[in-house]
Amino acid sequence: MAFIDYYKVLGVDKNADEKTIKNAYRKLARKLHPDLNPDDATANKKFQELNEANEVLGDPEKRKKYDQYGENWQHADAYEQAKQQQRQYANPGAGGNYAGGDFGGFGGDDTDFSEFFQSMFGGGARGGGRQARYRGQDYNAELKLNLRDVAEAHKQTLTVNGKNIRITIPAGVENGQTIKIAGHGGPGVNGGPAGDLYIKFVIANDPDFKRNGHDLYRTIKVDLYTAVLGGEITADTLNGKVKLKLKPETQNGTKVKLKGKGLPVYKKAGEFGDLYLTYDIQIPTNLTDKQRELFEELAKTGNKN
Amino acid sequence: MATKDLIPSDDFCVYHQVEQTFIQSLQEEGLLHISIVNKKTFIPTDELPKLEKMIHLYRDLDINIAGLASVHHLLQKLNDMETELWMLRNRLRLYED
Repeated sequence: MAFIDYYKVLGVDKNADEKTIKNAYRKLARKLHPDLNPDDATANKKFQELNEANEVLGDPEKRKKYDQYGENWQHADAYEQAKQQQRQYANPGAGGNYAGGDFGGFGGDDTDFSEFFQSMFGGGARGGGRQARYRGQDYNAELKLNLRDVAEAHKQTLTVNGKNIRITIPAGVENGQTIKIAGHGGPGVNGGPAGDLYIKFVIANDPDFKRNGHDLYRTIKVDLYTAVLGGEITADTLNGKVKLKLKPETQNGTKVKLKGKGLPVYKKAGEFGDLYLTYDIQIPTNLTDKQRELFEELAKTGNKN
Repeated sequence: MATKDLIPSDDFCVYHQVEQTFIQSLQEEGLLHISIVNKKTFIPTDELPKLEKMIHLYRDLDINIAGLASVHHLLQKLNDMETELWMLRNRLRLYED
């Protein structure tokens, strides 16, 4: 657990007065506020640090304790006990009158504060004593998936801030698409409702299939002889193999459409995109003498084109 | 819109401790849609996240109504651009190996 220099976080001098601290907080908050920086995890983290710094330095009592112990905060309780004992020795009967040691019991959500803060001040109080009920902060999370994962709806358990949430990933979600899970964000303040959880799907490139909306694209290799003479080939789709008939003299780069063999259309049950196959005709290599001879003979017959 | 999708503006203001004038100003700026039923003001529930966000900015950052309008406009633009960026990224993937 590391010491956090709250003065550095706010960018103010150790002797800064309340007004300077408030101004520094406002200035940085305007830059880093989560509502102004959606999807920016770095800004959100910095805003959390900023709030914490303001919580401590903006409160005279907390600031006093922080200034007093600084980097020796871990020994704060031991110092307190020693100080109290010294006073009792010097002034028997007077008792300890230091009241700066107990900052706990503020309530609120501890998870928004660093370990350092919680260790020194206990739980956190958001809102500076304001009693308005705030909706909790919205959380943003990313879920990495493979293309094949979105070929059909499935359930998945996610862990968000230590809590397990079971969600259904709808079939056909798009790369970069976000869904909202209501009420699974940060807890509300002063009894306000919880925020929402936004999950962004990040879908990795597939080695075989390219995607455009709900249509899929794939290039398949076809040997020269089948392309020239025609025949039957087998192609993989997302949900199995299909047999295709090739006409004689099929050209390289020919595209065929397999209707309904693409991805399911998002939120439209029973609707599917198409699969487009492009034939990549393979020229034979490492010819045998016999093959070379036959090709030479073929060449002599002339090219009518 | 069903009545259950509407929240009385009075209740919202008490709950969030904001003035009615704040809601009115947002409506006048075109930042918030409200419904009037039997001469009473109601806030549609789908406007809540946006309204709560504006309350955060108004209180936390001392941004006035004119500032909120600019922020709202720029965030909307940012959101549209991000959507477009994802769309273009997805198109670009067609040409990636």
